[in-house]
Amino acid sequence: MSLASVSEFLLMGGYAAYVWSAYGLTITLMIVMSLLALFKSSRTWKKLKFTQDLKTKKEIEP
Amino acid sequence: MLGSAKHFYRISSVILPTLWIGSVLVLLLGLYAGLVLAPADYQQGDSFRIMYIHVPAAILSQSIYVMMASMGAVFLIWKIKLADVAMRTVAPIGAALTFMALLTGAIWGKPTWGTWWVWDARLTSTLILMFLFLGVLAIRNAAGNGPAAGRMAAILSIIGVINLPIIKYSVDWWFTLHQPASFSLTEKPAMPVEMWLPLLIMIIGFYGWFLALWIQRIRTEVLEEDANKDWVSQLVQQR
Repeated sequence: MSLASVSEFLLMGGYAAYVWSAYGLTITLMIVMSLLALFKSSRTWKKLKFTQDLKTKKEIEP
Repeated sequence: MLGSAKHFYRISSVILPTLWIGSVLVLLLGLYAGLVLAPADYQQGDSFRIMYIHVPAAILSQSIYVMMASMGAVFLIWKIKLADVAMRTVAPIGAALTFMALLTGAIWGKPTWGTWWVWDARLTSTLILMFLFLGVLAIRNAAGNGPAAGRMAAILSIIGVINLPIIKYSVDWWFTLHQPASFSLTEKPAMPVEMWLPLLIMIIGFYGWFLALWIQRIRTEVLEEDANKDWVSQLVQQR
């Protein structure tokens, strides 16, 4: 790809502001939603693991 | 079978990684096809490329609504708890996708119609769709995750189904700036293949991504609800 065709691509025939803002907002929202779900999942796993470890400790100690 | 949280968890473990990776790949392919390969529209120029995210978001938001209302009906009739979990985990995704459809529509409307917003039937009924999703969310926030809140949310989502044919036929029933459907299951598209194929790829990508996100959220919710059950402690030990 030449530099001219890259800049032409970025300009989007004069609609750059509209096209890139629409795509940028959509992609950002999709990434944020995905990450939130994945973070929540790993947080839940950590929490479960923690309570499980606590339980097994109690079973051994007293 | 699928009504049991344990089985749902086990079956979804098999497909979830493929669904995440596959949908991201399809979306990347769709982005390349829609932004680079598709030719500019002879009337709208490059602004028409917003269609490749606007149409999938709009289609998906309506079909998520159908899924949410169906889960509500399943919960009301058979009292399956997993349906309630599915219903409450899908509402925020639905609200976000409707917002996405409205937002990209507004950004597309400015250069095409000369305005961000008009109070016509299509746009107004889509705004109502977003409020229905937010209404279901508000019930959850106010009344919690109990069965009573589940029933209320289910009834609201089922009543709201009336809005869907209004969205669909709004462009035919009333005068509007909004263009009619670009796709139909029964007819050949009016667009050339290099224009509609990226749209098809993006729609498939959006659906895959949505399913991955939804399943991911249901799994987390199911683990939290069944935290004290044997199958969850077994899973935790295995990790």
